Amino acid sequence: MSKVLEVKNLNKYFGKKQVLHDVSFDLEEGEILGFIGPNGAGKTTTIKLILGLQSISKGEVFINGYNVKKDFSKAIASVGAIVESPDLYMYLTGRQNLKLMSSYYKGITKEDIDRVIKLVGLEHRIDDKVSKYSLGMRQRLGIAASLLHKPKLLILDEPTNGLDPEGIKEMRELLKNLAKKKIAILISSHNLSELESFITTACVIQNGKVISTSSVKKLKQKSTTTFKIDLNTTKGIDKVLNDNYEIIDEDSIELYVEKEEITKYIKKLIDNKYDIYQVVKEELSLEEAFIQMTGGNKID
Amino acid sequence: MIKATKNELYKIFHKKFIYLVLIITVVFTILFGVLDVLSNEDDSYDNNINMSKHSMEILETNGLATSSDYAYQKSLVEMYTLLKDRNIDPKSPEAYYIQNTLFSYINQYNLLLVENDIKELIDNAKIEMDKSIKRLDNFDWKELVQERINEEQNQKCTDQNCEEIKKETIRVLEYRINHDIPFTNTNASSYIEEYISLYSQYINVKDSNDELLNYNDLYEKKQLERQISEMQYMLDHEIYTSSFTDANTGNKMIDEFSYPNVMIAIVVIVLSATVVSEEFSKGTIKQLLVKPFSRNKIIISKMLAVLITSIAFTFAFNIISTVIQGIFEGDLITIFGNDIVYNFNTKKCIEISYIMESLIAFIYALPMIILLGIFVFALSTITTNAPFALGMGFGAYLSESVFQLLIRRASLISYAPTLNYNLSPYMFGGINSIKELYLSKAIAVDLVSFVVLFILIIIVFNKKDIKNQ
Repeated sequence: MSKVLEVKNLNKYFGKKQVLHDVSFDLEEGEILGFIGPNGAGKTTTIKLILGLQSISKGEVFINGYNVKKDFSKAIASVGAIVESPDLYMYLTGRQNLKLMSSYYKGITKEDIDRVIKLVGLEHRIDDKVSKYSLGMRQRLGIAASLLHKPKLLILDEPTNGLDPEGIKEMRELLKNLAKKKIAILISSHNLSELESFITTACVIQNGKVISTSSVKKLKQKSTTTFKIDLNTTKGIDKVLNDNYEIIDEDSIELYVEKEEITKYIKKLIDNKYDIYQVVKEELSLEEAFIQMTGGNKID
Repeated sequence: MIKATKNELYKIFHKKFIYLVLIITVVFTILFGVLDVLSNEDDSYDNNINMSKHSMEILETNGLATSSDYAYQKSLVEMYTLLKDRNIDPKSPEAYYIQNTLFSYINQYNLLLVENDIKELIDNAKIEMDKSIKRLDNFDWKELVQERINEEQNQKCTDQNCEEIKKETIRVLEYRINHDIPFTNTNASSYIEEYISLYSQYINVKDSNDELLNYNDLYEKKQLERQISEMQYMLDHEIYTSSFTDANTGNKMIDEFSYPNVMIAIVVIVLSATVVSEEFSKGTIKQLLVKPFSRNKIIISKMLAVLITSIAFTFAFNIISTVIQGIFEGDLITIFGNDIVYNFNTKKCIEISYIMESLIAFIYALPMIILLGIFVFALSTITTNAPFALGMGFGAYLSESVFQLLIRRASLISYAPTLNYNLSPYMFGGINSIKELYLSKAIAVDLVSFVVLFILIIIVFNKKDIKNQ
């Protein structure tokens, strides 16, 4: 797989204040990278540096092998992006917006425009003025606009902002389908739980520094698993188990152990005359995994 | 670049603003036309008689029945009654004779009458008046002109100037006879009268040494030379209309093109102030900057779009207001005619079509549109603050008249771009009424201002970081 985006040691100063410290990460085709961090961590600034919207103080960005600083037009030609909010001309209709955007690229046909309209499901409202759209519809039109020229890299800055759960679900499906078509997607959010079901890689940024980048699969594997156990009583359980559990109520506990060790613990409980009614493996959220990994740093 | 400019134009022409200004223009021009028609006084003889009678009544009730005002109003009533009774065409030589020569006799007689002067004087005045009225029975305007020629010839002159004025006056009077132009209330006749009065002014400065004159006098002299030359040309070519005698719609069209109207300034300033800053305030600039176009291309395409729109709007505006005015004045056809233009360099007149002259005037006024636009554009690009750029733009537009007043106190002000950005005073070799302002300086100031602002815009836009919301 080839690298679509390479971010190397990106630094940004606003005056004397350094807002980005050596931010680095890569993105390959078909990969969906979640760029996660609290508000003000430097997500949008990083994205703006990648897109040439702000000058790079130090470091380099390559898109499709082209240096953004030196070969801007070539580098940016294969990028579709929404930064902060979908930037549309309110006094034009949806279709007029798409037509206008398409004229900046070569060879976009009327069919291409119809294709993206269908892709984001705006067929019925496309000839209305954008000022009459809901935020969710604008988001979708924004994505349609950024997909017009069949980009290899799609950059979405907080695309779920203002979307209702249904909208978030639709967007998730849309992005998964795009990734299947080998588009690399960089998606930023301050809310990890929204992204965890579909991103392939997570990159966490805090105070302008990347504190971890890893594949979601690995992350989940590495961490302990939570098991909820219902039993007859929790009395005296502190004498049986170490401190890797929590009492939920008088007849159930949560146990945090490696998956392979659960049998050992169940046996121990049975040996100590406890009746076990049910053992349920609880999915660990990505956020919890991160908290574990980063030693208890809350992300938001 | 063409594509990017086309896109910018697409955006501009999808906003309502320009259409709104055009509609306002049409509405206002029609409104002014209608008001003009409504305010035209009823010039019929009956109306004039009634008005003067009314004035007489007021004077009588105020005990002023013996005043010269009363005599004047009484004379007017008698004069208009005469015109009415004899059914005289207001544009005929008779009407002119009655309203000028005969009126003075009537007024003289009435004045003596109301003042109850010596009977002998009153009788004499009556005899003179009746004699003048009698002339109407067998009216021959050429005879009257010949009498004036004789009067002129008998006039004794003591200096060269008087001789020359006398000669020219006789020439023009003979011209009337030869070209069949009686004294009337028509353009041709009043035009010839105006020529003679200007000629007497001109003859006094004709031989003065240009180098010894102060600037104001030199300016006046050149203007007189121009007017005399134009009028002589027109007499020679039997054309009797000009911008001095009556401003026809053709002349008004040239004026419109020579000095961009306030509506045009509004459009240029608002467009220049918003075309960049709006993209910043609405965030759409980000979408634009992530397109495979260099920032230079993007900003230059915006400048071009503003320029093209301003020019298109200026033409649309001027043509619309000219056409509407022409319809109300009833002389729209004049715009397809020719104007007489004086060339200050060759000191000769040429004929040029009003349309061509308007285009030339527009080219001379173009630096004003370009500089006003780029100034506001630069402010809007640097600050991305539309209200600020708008305010400064209107300030600059209005500064011209303020600077003109201040220029006497500080000659450095003569380098202000707003005093130099309209080149129309210099058309056909003309000079500015202000000494410190001249064409070469104007061109230099305009070029320097343009280059400085252009470079500033390019540098600032290229360096600009798109701040986080």
